[in-house]
Amino acid sequence: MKGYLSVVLHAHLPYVRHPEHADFLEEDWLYEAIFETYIPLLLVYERLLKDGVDFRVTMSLTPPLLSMLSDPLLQDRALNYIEKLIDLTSKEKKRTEYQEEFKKSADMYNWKFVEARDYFLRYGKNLVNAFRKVQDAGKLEIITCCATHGYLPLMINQKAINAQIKVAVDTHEKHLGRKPNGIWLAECAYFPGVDYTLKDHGIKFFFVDTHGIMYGVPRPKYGIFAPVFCPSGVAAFGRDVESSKQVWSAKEGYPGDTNYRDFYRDVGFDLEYEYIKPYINSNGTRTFTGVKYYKITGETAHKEPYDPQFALERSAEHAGNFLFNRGKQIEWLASGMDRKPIIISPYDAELYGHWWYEGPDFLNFLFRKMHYDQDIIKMITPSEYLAEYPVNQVSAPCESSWGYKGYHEVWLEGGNDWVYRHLHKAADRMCELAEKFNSPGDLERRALNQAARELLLAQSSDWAFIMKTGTNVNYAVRRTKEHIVRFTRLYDSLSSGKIDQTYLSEIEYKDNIFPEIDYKVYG
Amino acid sequence: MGPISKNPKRPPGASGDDTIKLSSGKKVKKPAAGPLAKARAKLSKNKPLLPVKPVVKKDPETAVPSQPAKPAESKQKQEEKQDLPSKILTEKPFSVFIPDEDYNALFPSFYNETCIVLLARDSHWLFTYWEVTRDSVASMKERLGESFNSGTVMLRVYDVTNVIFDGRNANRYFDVRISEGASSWYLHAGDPNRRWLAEIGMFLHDGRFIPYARSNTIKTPADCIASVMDEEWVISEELMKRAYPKEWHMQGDWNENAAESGTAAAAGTLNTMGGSERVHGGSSGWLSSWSSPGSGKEKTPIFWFRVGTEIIIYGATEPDASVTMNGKPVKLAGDGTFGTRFNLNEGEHLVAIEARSADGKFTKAFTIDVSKCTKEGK
Repeated sequence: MKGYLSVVLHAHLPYVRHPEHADFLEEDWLYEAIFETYIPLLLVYERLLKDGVDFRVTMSLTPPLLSMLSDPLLQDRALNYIEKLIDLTSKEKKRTEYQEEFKKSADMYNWKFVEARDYFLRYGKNLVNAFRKVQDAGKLEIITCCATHGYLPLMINQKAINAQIKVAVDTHEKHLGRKPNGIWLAECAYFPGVDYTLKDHGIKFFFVDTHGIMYGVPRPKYGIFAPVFCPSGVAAFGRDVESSKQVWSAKEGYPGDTNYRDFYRDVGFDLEYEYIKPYINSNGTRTFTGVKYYKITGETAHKEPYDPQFALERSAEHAGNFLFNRGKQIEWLASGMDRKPIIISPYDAELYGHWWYEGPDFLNFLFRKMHYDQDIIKMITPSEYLAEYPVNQVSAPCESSWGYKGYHEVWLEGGNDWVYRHLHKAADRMCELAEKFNSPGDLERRALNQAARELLLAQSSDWAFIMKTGTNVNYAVRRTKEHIVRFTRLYDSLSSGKIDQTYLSEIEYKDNIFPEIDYKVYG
Repeated sequence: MGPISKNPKRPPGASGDDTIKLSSGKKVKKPAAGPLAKARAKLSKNKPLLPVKPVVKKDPETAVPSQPAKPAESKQKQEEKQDLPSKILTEKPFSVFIPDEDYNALFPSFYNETCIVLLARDSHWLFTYWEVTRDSVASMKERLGESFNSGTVMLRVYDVTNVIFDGRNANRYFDVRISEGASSWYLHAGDPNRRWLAEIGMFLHDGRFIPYARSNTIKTPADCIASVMDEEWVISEELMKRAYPKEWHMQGDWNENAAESGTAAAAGTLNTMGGSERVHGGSSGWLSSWSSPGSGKEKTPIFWFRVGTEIIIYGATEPDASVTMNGKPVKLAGDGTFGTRFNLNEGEHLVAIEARSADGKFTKAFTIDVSKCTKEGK
């Protein structure tokens, strides 16, 4: 055995809970992720456990995601979502009865959705319990993320940064029964000094993009193939370029294989309106349903029918190819190193299943092949690696992110830079309130805690990201403005001593994240 | 169209050319990387931020042809519709419903506080925003008297690396003239690994600079492999070759390798969620389907049995095309799809469907031959 591979899946969605609407488009992000990514991944893990395959995987479950997965309203709605899909695919099985090329996909969707629903119900609609089970089996290391995926290098206010970490760690412990050892900094965005804050909250490691390590001072001996200790003593692991590229790259990446399922051709758009109407957006707009019958085929509008069995075989081949390349990589590195190299391969979890439909199969094959077919490389979690190598070089990583160009330009550009004036002001005001109110009355305390929630929700890096990418921009702008407006109204009412209880109740009901939050985190 | 290829390698705003995109949609020539240009700021102007409507990015430069603009627009409309508090949940625990705030009207543009804040966008560029209140301007006017009118509003950016700044001891500084009404700006600082601070103030004809406000200090990040080594962790030549591939040795802006993987990674999360974009299927997607008639709900004591057959013909084309079926026009939905449900009579049927593009240049036709023969008994 010559080296290690650490697969890191970052599972995150912004807080998209809209109790005030019976049907809300953006909530579907959660349901899609639950049934297309999280449950398929959990099924892979559970079967590996059952078959005695020794595997390791690291996942960040972000605080907004944990909060939504454990929210009863969203759980019920998720169940409703999958029931509708089961209903649709039951009909689809019939509709395609004489179309052999689609029938096998329709059958597959139907049984997969039924299986997913049964799994969901088996865990009492709370997937956190399912993740926890794999964690407790020692195969999954769950780490945290910034409380609302706040972009720390652009936050400035040290207390606001501290709150993003403190609230995250508390939320993690509440849901997962233990404090996190590690953190996935939102967007992999690091700046020197934030590691001290991580240390304050017991966090032992985090990740940076490749150049975060490569440009570190002094120059790290092993590059990204071993962690470094920041001056604070917290470890930083660097993302491996090569393995990332094999999955992410538009050109060479596995998910672009023409045999894999096409994401865009969806019955939500393809089928006759009256027939599909009950399964699309309740306002009548066609949307994705998740039922898709075509394969990527090529750069052409003409798509060939999807063949699930053939695609499955491709995913096994790709897993073999990935493993072969990692083996070569490890052998090349190990011969020049005086310790076992570690390859860090981080991905957005939602890539697997939601976007790359065969992604969970790929991981399944990868983990099994790694266990059975070779002995060059072994899977490991960052915590285990640090236990094996407790002595590491001290080097200060370089400020960086995993966004385009490697710094902050994705989250700070013409389309989204206006948000920072308001985020900074609200953060400063929150700290001002925390200082001012030492022993608030009940109503004041509620308003103060709610103000903290509004600030945190406004700080999600997702909003700036959506504004940059140009899709769903209205929603991102609306969320930013709404939370700032709500925060500002609370700030004004606390300052003037006139708290509107009805209004407060209303926004407590709408923005109910972090029920246990204590505004003094800003003190 | 593969799933990943949806994320353009170079995302919007990152056209490979040498221009900088402005929020106004205009472009400014990016300063050439050279000593002269480095000597100082050619700057991009940022329009006043508010209460201007949020900028919806449109970047024809980098628009990827496979990303149709129309579905995105209709999506936005759809979101607007959702803003209406029309669908209130009955399980709502409050008796009084407060409609969603008019967040656009209530959103504060400014905070009536004179201030300036500086952020580092990357190793070479800074971003700053500021506010100067009427009161601040008035007292400046009072203080400067006549000379106020000859002055211009200016940003002064100081290099305060290794300095505890007292207003006069900066390593160097550069001035940036800003346009009237601006409240934020991108600044080309040029050098990584330096600490910066900015002031907004009045530059007077006699050369004096009187600041309204001073910013926080920030540092531009490194952009290359460090030359500083740790003697306890000596890197052999062999290891250097293995752990630091060639492409990482260049200096300057970010390297391609990092960008390739970084781009896709960052674009991965939300861009893919909710599937707000779709490659339009064009003229494909012709599926025929039969559905059974509704199950009879009548409760009659008499045993009865009936059979119906329907045929549904549907499809999609360009939203502005016209479609006819056996010579009669077919109404298209806004997104170019259509669907017609027929009761299918006995016998053989020919259905001729024709689509004609809006400009009349293209036509496509299908003929469907359907036959039905129903007999009683087995």
